[in-house]
Amino acid sequence: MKFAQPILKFALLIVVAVGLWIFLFPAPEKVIRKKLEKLAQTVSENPQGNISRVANVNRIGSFFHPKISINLEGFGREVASINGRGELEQMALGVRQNNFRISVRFSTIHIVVDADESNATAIVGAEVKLNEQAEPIVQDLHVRLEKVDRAWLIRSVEPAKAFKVE
Amino acid sequence: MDAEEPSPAARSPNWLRFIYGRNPALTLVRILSLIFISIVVFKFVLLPIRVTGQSMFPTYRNGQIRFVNRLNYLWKAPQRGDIVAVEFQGKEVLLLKRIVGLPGEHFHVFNGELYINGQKLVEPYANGKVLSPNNKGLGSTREVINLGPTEYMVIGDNRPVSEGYIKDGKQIVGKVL
Repeated sequence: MKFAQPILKFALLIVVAVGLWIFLFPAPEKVIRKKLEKLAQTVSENPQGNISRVANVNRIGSFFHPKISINLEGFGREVASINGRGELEQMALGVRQNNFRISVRFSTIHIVVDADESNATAIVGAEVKLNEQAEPIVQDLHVRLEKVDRAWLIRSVEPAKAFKVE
Repeated sequence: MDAEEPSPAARSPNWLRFIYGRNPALTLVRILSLIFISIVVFKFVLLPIRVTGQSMFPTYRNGQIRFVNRLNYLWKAPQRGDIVAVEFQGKEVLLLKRIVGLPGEHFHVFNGELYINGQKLVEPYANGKVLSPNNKGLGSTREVINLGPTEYMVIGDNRPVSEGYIKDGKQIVGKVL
């Protein structure tokens, strides 16, 4: 029984070390998933008052690369093409000031990290509700992310290819 | 010559013994094992689904119960003709569709019929032809769709009412049994 004690202590030490490693250096997939969930949560907020609105818009902007390119042509009936973080923040501020309520949920998130570990693609099932509408707009999105200064920033967003017949 | 005291289970009425057996502790272990195995199997291996709508008619009818084998594509890639469940609204709402286009292929629709790499697809399972959205006639795609290295084209068998989707391989939940 005596010789079992050091083995148990060693095993415990290994478990703690592995746990600490996972906590301090989480896998990129986990970081990106958390980031996207946080983005959906931030976009779905309904801040009241100018200062809160501006703070919310700045928080939304912080998820995106300065050269963000968003092409949501085909997303529901609306068409949106945004280039650059500044344009995105302007648009977000306009939406907030007009008291539009947006609710975003990413129902599925699949992440593929490139071999260089500085780029990644997330295939996201997005559900968007505008102004408390009953049925959400459902759309698959391809989100490209880039690692800049150890932070994953969204570089581009575009809808998955659609099958349209005429 | 004292008679041996019968066990509590042996003393209980027959109908109760029928429910929890001779050894109630063992019966409880069996029940818990069965519950555990059922949860694992029906959550991670065979996903039970109810068919809703006419998109896969006549292969599947509205209201039928089917199972999705989630392990089918762990070791092999999906094949053309496979009926699969794909994600739609998360994992709560799945679509049942047939794979018609594989990664890297060129896909288009002309006069309601599907073409892969320029060749008309032979589809004995299909019911009718793809229609244009406002039912003005047979549907055609404006241009050829090039499927990416991980993309699949899926569509229901009941072509006049079924919508097609281009889904990433990761969005395929499993093969329908």
